[in-house]
Amino acid sequence: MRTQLMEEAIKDGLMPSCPIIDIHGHWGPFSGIYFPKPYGDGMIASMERSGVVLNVFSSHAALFEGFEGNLVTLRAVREYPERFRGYVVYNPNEPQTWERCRKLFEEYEEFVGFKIHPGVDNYSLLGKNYQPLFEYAHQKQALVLSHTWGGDICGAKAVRGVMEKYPEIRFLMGHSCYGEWEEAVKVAQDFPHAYLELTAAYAVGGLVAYFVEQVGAEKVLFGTDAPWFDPHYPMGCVIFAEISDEDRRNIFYRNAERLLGIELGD
Amino acid sequence: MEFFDCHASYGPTYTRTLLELPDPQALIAQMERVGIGKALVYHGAAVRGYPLEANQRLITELAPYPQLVPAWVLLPPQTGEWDLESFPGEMKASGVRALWAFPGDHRYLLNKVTMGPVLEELVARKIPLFLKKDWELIYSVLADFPELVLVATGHGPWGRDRYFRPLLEQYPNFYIDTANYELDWGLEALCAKYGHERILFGTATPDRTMGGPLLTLLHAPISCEAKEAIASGNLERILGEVKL
Repeated sequence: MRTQLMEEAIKDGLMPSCPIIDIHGHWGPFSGIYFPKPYGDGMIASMERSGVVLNVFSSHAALFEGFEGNLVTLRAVREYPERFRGYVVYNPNEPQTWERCRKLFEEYEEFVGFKIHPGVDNYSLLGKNYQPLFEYAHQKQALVLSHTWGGDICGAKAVRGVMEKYPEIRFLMGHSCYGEWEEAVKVAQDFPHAYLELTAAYAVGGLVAYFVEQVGAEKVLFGTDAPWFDPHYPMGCVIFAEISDEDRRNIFYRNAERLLGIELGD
Repeated sequence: MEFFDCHASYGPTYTRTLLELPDPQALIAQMERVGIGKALVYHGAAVRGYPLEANQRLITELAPYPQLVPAWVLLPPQTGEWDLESFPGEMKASGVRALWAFPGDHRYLLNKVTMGPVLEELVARKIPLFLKKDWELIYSVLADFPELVLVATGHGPWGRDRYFRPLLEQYPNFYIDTANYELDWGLEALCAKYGHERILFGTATPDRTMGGPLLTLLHAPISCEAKEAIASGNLERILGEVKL
């Protein structure tokens, strides 16, 4: 049986009654992949045809080229303030940049949280150089989006270790500890502020429904890795998952609204 | 729009899975939920179980469901498990017009030495061969059999354009499926440069979901003609050209 949101998505490719917040985006080109349109205009055109109203992102420059890449993020958000917000990327291999990262977050409202990528940086989530960030985020109840993936560096066991010590972090498990689904679910169950983020994971057969069944749709957020993935792909995975429209609304925007402290309305 | 999924299976996966499709009815339920009318299907037991028995079970189990079109999994001929003389006739009698190969799972080398006579037969009869991502293998097979109708599937969410675009330029019978092709603006860019004729709608169900590829194609910024061809027309054409 088709629901209202299914009908809307099939008919127009977007859902007038349900905005989307993409909580896991990027910006700009990246060496490992060909992107047809990696900058603002192309990304916004994608957002408009799929009903994504806001993208919260970290630029590839910030992820791969060091602290100064965060200024690429800042400039991009300033260019399109209605459509984007940024994460400050902190690289634990450059611990001397932590204070600058903190100031960037505190002084510029364009930034709404922090992004870390233990995989790219080859640095365990449990490593000591992450501690200043986690301590700060714990005290401020700040949003931290971490790349998480099955394995030692940033798998569910490492996330659990972080949350045990810093339970007040609003911790988004980017990619939901890909492959360690049961363990990621347990982390989201055990810690009120640990969330499952769907980028890439959404495509695994049956996974969205499994997450909702196990942790509730209030703990699951929507992301696309834009400009990597066509928003319609993850959207279709959520739209046709065996969950309710209320669950879909939570995933598509309500949970992000709550975490970002904004209100879009239905 | 009519959707004909080129890449689906049911039956045992022999691995931990969140989406169990034990029989054709379960697969059809997924298709109906999403709006896919037809699927080219292989039996899950043909991959990790025994291919030849699973191929026969497939024919029996799909008989009541004309919307499910059978595809067999092949083996090398040297052991006598795959009869070079009789397989085209057996395919014809069973309504099979497409083959999959899983050389890694089945412990053989998909090359000229092992599979030369089989692949020559596939070329002569325009029987499409479906392969999962292994670019070095696909490059070497096409180098030896440039006229082979080969469909590269499951090629990863990163957008493997740098791998498969050279093959589109070099080999006229090379195709890709859309099961993992999530690249933003990817279909538009691909169609603009290479046309829509060599892209097939696929879902990789049950490993992956049907909804993602379907919504992506449905609202891709390409022409209606291109969407219809990718959704079903191209696969219908390929299967229609098979000579058994």
